[in-house]
Amino acid sequence: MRPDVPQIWDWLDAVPDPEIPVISVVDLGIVRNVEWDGDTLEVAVTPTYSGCPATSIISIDIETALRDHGLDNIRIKTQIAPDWTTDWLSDKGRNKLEEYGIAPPRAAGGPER
Amino acid sequence: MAQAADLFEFLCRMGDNTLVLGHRVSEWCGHAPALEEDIALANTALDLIGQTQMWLGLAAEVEGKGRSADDLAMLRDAWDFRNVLLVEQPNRDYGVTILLQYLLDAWHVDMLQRLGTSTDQRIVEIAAKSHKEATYHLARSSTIVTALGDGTAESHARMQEALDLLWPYVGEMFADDAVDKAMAEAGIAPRSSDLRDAVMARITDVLVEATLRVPDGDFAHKGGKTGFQHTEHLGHMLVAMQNLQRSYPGATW
Repeated sequence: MRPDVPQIWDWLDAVPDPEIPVISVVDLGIVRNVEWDGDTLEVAVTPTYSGCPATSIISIDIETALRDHGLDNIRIKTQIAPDWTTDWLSDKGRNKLEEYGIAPPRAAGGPER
Repeated sequence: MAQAADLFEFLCRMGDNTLVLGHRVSEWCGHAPALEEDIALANTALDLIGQTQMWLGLAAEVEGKGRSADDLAMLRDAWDFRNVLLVEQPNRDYGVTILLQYLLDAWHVDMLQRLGTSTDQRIVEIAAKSHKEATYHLARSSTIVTALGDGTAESHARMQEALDLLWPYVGEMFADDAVDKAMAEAGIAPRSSDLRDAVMARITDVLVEATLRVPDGDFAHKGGKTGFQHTEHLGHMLVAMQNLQRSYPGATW
């Protein structure tokens, strides 16, 4: 049985960013797409910066999490456009960063408080 | 329609510039004059190596001979590299390093911006990703060039020495050949010479602000981007960079 796509997004939202584990890879905005291609689940991931050394770790973490939920046919695709900026952080992610003690990136104008 | 061979050549030029500069910059890791700079240098090197993976990855795909970006980076010898001679020059002191970075950045930002309207969508995407990073590199390197040039007597003298040393390597970035012509005709990339006026004006403005004297003459060392003849420094660099794959072919981890 194929789990539906919203369910998979929920699972991915439990995969922590390796560098700042209080937010998930979904909060960070680097998971761009999740879709079934026949029996294969394709997850499109975008790197934050071109040479980000955590990129391969993130792919392994995503694959491991999905395998733990019983998926076998998984394809991780690198998608570079549109390019990542801090605008891709979710509101939930921004709040978690702030609680953790990291000032979340904001549009020009500086912190709100 | 451009020939695949010309496109491969062009992509190697883009990727080898970022690879060779990225490796040179990474040589500073742990040795920079200040901790902040050490981190900035390592991150700049990472950006450049990441961009290399995209350019050489596409080059390998276009070539269609089953080679990967890693194969191109680690298993070609000096004569197959297509970077401009500027980026293979040794780091020497920090003044040379940052000025070299600046000169390449000044060209890189314009080149990537122009590639944003390439007829090849794959190139548009790589250029957009890289342009954001190159814009930061340029902001950082131009600030430091200005601060050191217009700094103490010692820093000024070193920056002037660096400029006199590197100036003859600037012209190669704007030299056209048959590959440039093929890319321009296919709408894939601008001619190298199309970038000259805007980039040289930018460079001159920063050098004036840095109180540096622009050297006389327009002699340019060439042969890197065509692969005709690299300087002896590239081979020495590759010995270090490729050591692992040469000693343990196919090693992975």
